[in-house]
Amino acid sequence: MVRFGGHWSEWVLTGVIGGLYLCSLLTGIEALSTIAGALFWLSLPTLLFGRRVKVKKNRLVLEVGWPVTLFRVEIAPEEIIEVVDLERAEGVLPLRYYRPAISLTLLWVSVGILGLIQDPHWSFVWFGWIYWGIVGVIPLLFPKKAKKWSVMATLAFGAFMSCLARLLGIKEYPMYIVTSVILVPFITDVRERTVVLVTEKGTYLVSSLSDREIEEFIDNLRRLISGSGGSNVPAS
Amino acid sequence: MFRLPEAMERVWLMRARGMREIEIARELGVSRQAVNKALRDARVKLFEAFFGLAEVFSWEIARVNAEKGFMVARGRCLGRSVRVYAFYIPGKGLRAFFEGDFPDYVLRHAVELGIIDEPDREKLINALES
Repeated sequence: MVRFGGHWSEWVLTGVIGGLYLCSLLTGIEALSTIAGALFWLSLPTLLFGRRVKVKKNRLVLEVGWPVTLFRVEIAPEEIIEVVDLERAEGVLPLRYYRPAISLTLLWVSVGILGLIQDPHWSFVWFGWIYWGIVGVIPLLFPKKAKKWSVMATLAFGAFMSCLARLLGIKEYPMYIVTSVILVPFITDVRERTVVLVTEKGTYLVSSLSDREIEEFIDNLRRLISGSGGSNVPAS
Repeated sequence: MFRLPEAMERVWLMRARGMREIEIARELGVSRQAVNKALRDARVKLFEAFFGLAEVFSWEIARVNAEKGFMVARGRCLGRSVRVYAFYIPGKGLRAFFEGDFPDYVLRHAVELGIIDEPDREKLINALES
């Protein structure tokens, strides 16, 4: 399924979750971390998954939310400024189109470090914040042609975190390198192919695990732009 | 041969050089809405032209930028995979080049549009690819 991502609600939600945890650590109010946890589990099926991309009335329709649509973006062909296929644009740095990821990484790492200082009994959890905060952004730091370096960096970071965890006496220290090894196929082969749409309104991401579906999406986009796109034609 | 209408091309070129819509409107003595409409129409026409070009030659599109008027694609030439760079050059229309074999006028055009700061082939390839 060709699905939509990159809506501001995703970035805001992830930021709010991190922000609530940070505030909880700074103020000592545990209710804030409980709210953040609840928000995380609630948002997983509802907000963090973009819906199927459609073409309707000569507009690209991108929706977020499940089971009901919470946000909807309609893009007219004339609003599109740039189209980038990140798989084929081999030298393009993906981070360029994921700018909010930088501040979110900083936020998650801050929560992890602060947690480690304030509550070392839960080191395993705080290491998780640091690990997932950084490991998620590593593939965005390398263009497709440097995929090998992305894999190396993920493995090196996992090894570094495991060594650090062992030094700090965290029992689950092998978990970080093991997770990095598990993540490798997701960086190399199983990863989603993403097309970036830069528009007057903002930057949107359209992804799919299937190359064929992305080809169909690009074809539908081409037909939409050339004015021959049919109404109510699904983009995949 | 594909060409943008003259007035539309002028507005598109001014925007591609980095002017804001309000500055273009002031310079041409038209409304900002008229400039916005011309730019939107120009983008659609350019996308259509680049997508059409890629379809005719079976090129795989990697990147299309309608604001600066270029496309990066992958095509096949003599049985091997090659990079194709296409530009919309005002007054000339669409021009495509294999593996960065750019003539001087393309380098000058890229400098004029602010894609690169000096007419250098490697710099242009780098700018289009990254």
